[in-house]
Amino acid sequence: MADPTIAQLKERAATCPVRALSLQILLWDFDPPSYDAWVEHVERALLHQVNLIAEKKNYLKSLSEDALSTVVQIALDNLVLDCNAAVVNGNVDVVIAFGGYKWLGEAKIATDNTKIFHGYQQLTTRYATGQPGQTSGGMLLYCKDERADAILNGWRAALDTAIPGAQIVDGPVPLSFRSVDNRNSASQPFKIVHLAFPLFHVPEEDAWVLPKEAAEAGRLAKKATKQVAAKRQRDRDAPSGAASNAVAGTDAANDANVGDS
Amino acid sequence: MSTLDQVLQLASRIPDDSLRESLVRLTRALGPHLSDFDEMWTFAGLARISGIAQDDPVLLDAVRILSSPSPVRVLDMHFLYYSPEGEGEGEVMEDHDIADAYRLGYLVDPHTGAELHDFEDHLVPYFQVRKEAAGG
Repeated sequence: MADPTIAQLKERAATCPVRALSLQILLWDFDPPSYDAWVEHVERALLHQVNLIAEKKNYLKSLSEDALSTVVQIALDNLVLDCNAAVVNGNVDVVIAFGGYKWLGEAKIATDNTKIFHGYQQLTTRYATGQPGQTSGGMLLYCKDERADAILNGWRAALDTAIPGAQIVDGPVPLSFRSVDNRNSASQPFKIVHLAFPLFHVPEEDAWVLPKEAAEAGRLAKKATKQVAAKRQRDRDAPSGAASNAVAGTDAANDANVGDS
Repeated sequence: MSTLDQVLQLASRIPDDSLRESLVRLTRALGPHLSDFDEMWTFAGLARISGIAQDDPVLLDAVRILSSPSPVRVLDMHFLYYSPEGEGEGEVMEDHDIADAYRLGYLVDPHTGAELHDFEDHLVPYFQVRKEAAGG
């Protein structure tokens, strides 16, 4: 048969999280995913977009919170999943929806934990309904001013202290973690993935030149390597008896350190 | 607003150039066939009429959009079954048999009664224009 089977289509789609989600939606009528399985695909698609955005950080780091969220929304718009800033008990920054399922995202420029916590409170106590098919979401932390790992670790520690029982565990990628919050109107567990967008961009190639000692260490190592090669060459060229005498008691690296000029 | 206009309006909001252009091409290619409810379009057929390469990933995305409920559904997906014992002729399957297969984890071969757990290796999707789409 010339046409692709479902197995072949799945194999092709597996190389791209966005495409895998697309195929899952195509099969929805026949093989509807559980909410958790759908959320897993959404998170993979979102992580894919985080990677794409991080690659362009030098162009994006000066954007505002709304502008950055718009970039995320535009990226997700290509999924045609009704992804947008939507009104769900207020203004949620990012909503991804399909077939009655919803994933809610709160975006913050991660300047300090107080500000992040305010967004977290909005997500968990204002926007999250706790209704079936709407029990997952995420904190999108745009890390523009500091390293993303430092910001995320700081936020993780702050959340752990502020919300006892948040069930914090590592997330799907290094720059992420997961937590749970039950303070929605239905008192249902609302699962949150906290994703750091690494937008901190301070190129140092012109600000930090190679220290003098490092340059010297490199020069010595290079010289030693050359001397070893030269000695080996001489050994190969010399008669066999002379070669062994020349090697014995000689250390090219020591020579390099002692006789370096 | 016609069905095609609704899809084209949706396409105009898609940021990705290749997906937007592919959706427009596929939609326009389907335009003359909106009343051919019996026509069965496989991916190869849709690739042929639209000029999009069958292995171009945007074809899948464009088909998925045309098969999604929102904002307007143009195509319905169904399946042809190619029996492991068959002569290469695909057999039209009922949608509920496919849904049962996914629910149960196996497909019952309509001729031999064998339970096929690798049924996705033997199912080829095809698409038909929805009657509702023609009336839009």
